[in-house]
Formats: sequence, structure tokens, C-alpha cells
Amino acid sequence: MEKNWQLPVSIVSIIVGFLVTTQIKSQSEQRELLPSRRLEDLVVMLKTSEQRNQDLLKELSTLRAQVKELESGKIRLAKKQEASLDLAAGLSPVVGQGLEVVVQDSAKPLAKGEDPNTAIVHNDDLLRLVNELKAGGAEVVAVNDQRLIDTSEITCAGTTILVNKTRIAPPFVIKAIGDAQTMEAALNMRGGILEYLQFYGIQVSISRKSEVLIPMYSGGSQYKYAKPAAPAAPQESK
Amino acid sequence: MGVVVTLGGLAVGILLGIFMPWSIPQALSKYFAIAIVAALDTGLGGIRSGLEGRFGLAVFISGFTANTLLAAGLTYLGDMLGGDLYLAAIVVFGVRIFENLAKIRRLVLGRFWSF
Repeated sequence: MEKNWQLPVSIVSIIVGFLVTTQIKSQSEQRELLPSRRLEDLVVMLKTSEQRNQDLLKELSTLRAQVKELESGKIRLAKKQEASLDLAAGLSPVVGQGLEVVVQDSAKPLAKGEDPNTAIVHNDDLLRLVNELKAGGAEVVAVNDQRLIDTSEITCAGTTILVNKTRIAPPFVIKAIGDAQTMEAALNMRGGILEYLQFYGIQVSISRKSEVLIPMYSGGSQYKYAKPAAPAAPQESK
Repeated sequence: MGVVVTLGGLAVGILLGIFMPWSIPQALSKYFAIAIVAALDTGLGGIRSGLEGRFGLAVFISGFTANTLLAAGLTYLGDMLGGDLYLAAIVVFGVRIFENLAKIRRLVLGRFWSF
């Protein structure tokens, strides 16, 4: 009786030792892979990658300026065409008459039982405002100085809104260049977007400007998959 | 004597673990942690009952498997339910580990010193 307990207990202790070391080994491996998964560290990681993003954007704009310089030295013929292409592609800042629409969360205190979700500005609201402005003849639109180009998105990311993959925060300033009167009329249409937003207490103020300045698109090259194809043959009319 | 043998077993296990190229996937690491605590508890319980001279092989083996499986099952259930049920197993095994260690300490001390 005295002796025969040692063997099974030793086997179990071999198992314990084995499990402990393998576990410690794989835990430290994983720690190297994923330095830490705590919220605070993730915030720091997000901050640093955003900072890096900013730095790269700065680098991109200086490089783009260099490219412009080189190009202007070489080609002067295509200059004019390039300028209009740049305008369309959002690669140059633009100025013109238009509207400035400032959108802010509701300032009214919430009534009891009221959903606080209705009192804040959502990406849908911005999307509809922008759409209405475009319908009213806006030529160039920017949200919080993020120039909207053909690939621009206005999405919801947790508690913030993303435009051109950049987080924006209230107050949201939508700048639109175009015929100010038509655009304002489009927004103020009866049963339109402004009435809808005001119903929920969202604060919208529209001001006409004789000179609205919209910066250039600050993101990188947009086309990774799309390639120019041969233009379709013009269809013969019967 | 028995304690020395088990410590030797522990050392052998540690060496095995160091030289084995296996590693545990992240998803299972919680289960392994709980299995380790359960195995540790069973091992200490075995030493204690051995020193007390009332070791039963069937009790030992069934305790080892049942404790480990119950702990892993509890962890799994906790994962399914979204609560940290494995904490219950950790606490119970932790308390028992301390109790067993205290008993072993007394038994071993009693063998060498009798004040």
C-alpha cells in the first residue's frame, strides 16, 4: 500500500509538468504574435497607426507635389486637360460659390423613454444630405473637409462616422459647390431631408457662401482592380 | 521518499514540455489552464493520501479524469453561456490545492521533526 501510490502520482506529475511548460511556451509565443489584447493597448495601437496614416498621407502629398513639379516641367501641352481631370478626380482643391451646411446632434434634453439614438447624427443622415445636395446640382462636395470622390464612402464605424476611411466627428460641416439657391431649395423641400432631420431635433444650419473652398482628395491611388479596357465600339445607328 | 519521486516526475514532465515542439492553440489555452489546475490538484491529493497511507488507485484515477473533464466541461459551458464559469473551477481547485499542500507540509514535517 505504501509503495504503489508513487507511480500513478508520478505519472500525473509528469503530465502536470508537461502541460505547464507547453502552456507557458505557447502563451509566450502568442504574446509575441499579439503583444496584448487589452483595450487600453488596442487604443494605443489604433492611435499610433492613425498617426502613421497621417504621416504617410503627408508624405503622399509631398510626393504628389513633386510629381506635379516634374510633370509641369515636361508636359505643358496636356496641362489644361490634366487640370480638368484633376478637378473631376478630386486631385486639386476647388473654389466656387455654394453652401455650407452644419449638422449637429440634437440639443434637446431627451424625454423619458425616448431613444437617444434618434438624437444623434447618423451616417444615413449625412448620406441623404449629400445626395440631396447632388440632386440639387452640387458639383463638388466635402464632409468635414473630406472631399467626396467616386469611391468615397460615408459609413458608420462604431460610434464614429468614416468618410474616405477617415474618422470624422460632429459638428459635421458639409461644403458643396454649385448653384446655392437650387441646392438650398433642394434641402428645404417640403417633406424633404431638412424637415425629417428637424423632426428628430437634429440641428442643421445652412449658409450661402460666395466662396467655398474644398480641399483635394487626400487618399491614395484608388484603383487596384479596375484597369482601363478598350472603349466599346460606337454603336451604329440604323 | 514519495514526495521526491513525484518531484522527479514533475522535472521529467517539464523537460519533456521544453523539448517537445508542440504548442497549444489560443482557443484551447483556457481549457489547458483549467486542466493544469485540475491535474495539479489531483496530484497533490494523491501525494497527501499516499502519505496518509490511504491511497486508492481507482479513486485516484477516477478523480483525475472526472475533475479534469468536469473543469473542461464547465469552461465550455461558460463559453457557451457567455459567463466565466471556469472561475468556479479555478476557485475550488485553488482552495483544495492549498488545503492539500498544508496537509502534506504537516505530514512531511511530522516525519522529520517531532516537536
